[in-house]
Amino acid sequence: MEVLDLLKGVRALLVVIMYGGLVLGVGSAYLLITGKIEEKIAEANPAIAMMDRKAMFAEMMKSEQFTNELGPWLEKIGGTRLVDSLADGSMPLILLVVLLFSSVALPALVLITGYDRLSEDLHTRYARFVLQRIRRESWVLGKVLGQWAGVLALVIVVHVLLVALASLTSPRFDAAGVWRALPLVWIGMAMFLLAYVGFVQIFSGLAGRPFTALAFGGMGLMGMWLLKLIVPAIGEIWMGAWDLRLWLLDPIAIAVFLAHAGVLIALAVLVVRTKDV
Amino acid sequence: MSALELVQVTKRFGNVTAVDGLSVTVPEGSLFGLIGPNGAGKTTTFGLIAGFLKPTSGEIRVHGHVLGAGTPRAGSLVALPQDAEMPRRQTATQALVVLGRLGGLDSATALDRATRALDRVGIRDLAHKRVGLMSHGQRRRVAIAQTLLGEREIILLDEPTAGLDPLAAAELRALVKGLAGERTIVFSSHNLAEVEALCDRAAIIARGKLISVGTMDELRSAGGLVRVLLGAVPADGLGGVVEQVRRVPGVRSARPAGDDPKAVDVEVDDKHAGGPDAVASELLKQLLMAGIVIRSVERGKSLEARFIEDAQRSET
Repeated sequence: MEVLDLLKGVRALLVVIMYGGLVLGVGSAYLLITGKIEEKIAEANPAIAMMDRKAMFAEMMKSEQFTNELGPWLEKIGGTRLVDSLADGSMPLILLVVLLFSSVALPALVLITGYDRLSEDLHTRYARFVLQRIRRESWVLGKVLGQWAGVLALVIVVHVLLVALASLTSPRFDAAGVWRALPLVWIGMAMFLLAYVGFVQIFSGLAGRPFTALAFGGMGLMGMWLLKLIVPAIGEIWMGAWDLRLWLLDPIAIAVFLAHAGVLIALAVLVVRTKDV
Repeated sequence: MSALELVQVTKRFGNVTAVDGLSVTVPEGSLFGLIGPNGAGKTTTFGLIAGFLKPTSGEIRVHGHVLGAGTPRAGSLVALPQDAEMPRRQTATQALVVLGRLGGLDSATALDRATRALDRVGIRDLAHKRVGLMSHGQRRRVAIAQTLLGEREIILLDEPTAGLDPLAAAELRALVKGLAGERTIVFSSHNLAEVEALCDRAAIIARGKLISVGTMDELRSAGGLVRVLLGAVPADGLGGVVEQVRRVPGVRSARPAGDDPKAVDVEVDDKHAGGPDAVASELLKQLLMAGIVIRSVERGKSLEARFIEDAQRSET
C-alpha cells in the first residue's frame, strides 16, 4: 500500500526526472570528457589508443604518476578495494563517478519522497484511525519499508533505463561492465537508502506539519554535511563519509550503514512511541 | 462487568491539567454519555481511552486489561476521533478496506464489512466515490463506518453529530440507538437533549474533573434535587420561602431557581431518614401549612438544568 502510494504519486515522477537527469548529465559529461582525453592520447601515442579501455587503464595504473599521486589519493578515499576494483574493471569508472554524485543527490530525493510519510498522517490525524488498530512500531516500520522499497525501485528503474539508453546511443560506453557491476551496486544502494529513509522519518515523526518536517529534514541533512566537514571525528562516524566504500561493498562500510539504519529507524520509532498523536 | 474503567487518570499538557484524577466506570453493553462544557476535557479523555494520548498518571482498563500508551486497542476498542480526516485520495471502500486489513481482517472479509458498514451509515451509493470529493457530512459518515468494521469492540464516538445536517444527525442517532445493547458505546455531545434521549448512563465533567456520574434518572435527581414551583410569588419575594424551606429537616440548601422566577431549587440530603422523597413530602407539608401556594414539587431536573448547575458550581 505504502509502496503503491509512493509509486503512483507525482513525486515518483519527480524522482525519475531529477535522478535520471543527474545520472544522464554526469554520465554524458564523463563520456564526453574521457572521449576528448582519449582523442588527445591517441594523437600523442597511437599504440595506447589501439588498446581497449580496460587495458589502457591498467597501463595507466602502472605509471609512476599514478603510483605516486593518484593511487594514494584513491586509496585514501576508497581503500585498497577501490584501487583494485578500478584496476580489474569490476567497478567501471563511469559508474563510480555517477554513484559519487548520487551520494549527494539521493539523500535529498529521499527527503522529498518521505518527509510527509508520518507527518501528513499526524497532521490530518489519520494516524488516529490507524493507531487504534496497529502498534506504533508497526506503523513506523511500515512507512520506512514502504518508502525504502519505493525509492529503491525508482532508482533501479532509472539505472536500467539509462544504461539501456547509453548502450544504444554510445559505442564507447562499457555496457557489459556496468551491467555486471550494477547488481552489487543495488545491494549497496539498498543499505544506503534504508539508512537515509530512517534519518528522514525521524523528522517526519517529530514534526507536527509536513512542511516543518521538510524544513527540519533539509536542515538535518545540511547540518550533518557541515558537521562532517567541521568536526573530523564526526565525519569518520557519520555514514556520509563511507558511501564511496559502500558502493564497493566494503564490509566496514556495510556495517556502518547497517548500524546507522538500525539506530536511525529505532530513533524514528522512539519519537512516535513517546508522542501524543 | 465493566467494559471500560478509568482509574484516577490525569493528563497534563505542560502546566495545563486537561484531565484531573478522573475515575469512571462504563458498564458492559451500556450507551454511556460523556458531557461537559467546552474545554472540560472530553476529547482529551477520549484520546486517553483510545490510546492517542499518554496519561500523565492513572490507569485505563478495557475489559479488565490495563492498557499502556501506544498499545493498539484492536479487537477491544474502536474510536471516531473528533477531527481526524480519512485519506482524501482513496474511495470510501478503499479507505475502509485498508483500516479493516490493519485491524486484522482478510481482504474478502474487510471488503464485506466495509460494504455493510457503508450500508449501515446510509452511503452505500458513495462506496466508490473519493473521500476528498465528498461533503463534510458524507466524510463524517465514512469515519463513523470505520467504527463498524469490527464486531465486538467498545465504540467511542466523540461528537459524532457535529457538522451533520438535522436529518443526518437523526439518522446517526437512530443508528447509535440500534447498536445499543449489542455494543458498549461511549458518546460525547454538546447536545444534551441528544445525550438524554440516547444514553442510559452519563458522566458530567468540567475542568477535567468528574462532577457527576450515574444513570440518567440518577443524574437528574442526584444529590436529592427538588424543585418547588409556586402558584404565586409572595409580595415580599422568594426570600421568605427560601428561609422556610431551609428550616425543613433534611434540606441542605435552597435558592431561587435561575431559570424560573416562580421556582425554588432545593438540595436535600440523600441519606436523610426516608430519603429524598420523604424530605420532599415534609417540605410540601410545611410550605402548605405556612400558607404558601404550591403548584407542584418536582424531583430532579432536566439534564440540561443539572449540567448548567454543575458547570456553574465547578466554576466557583
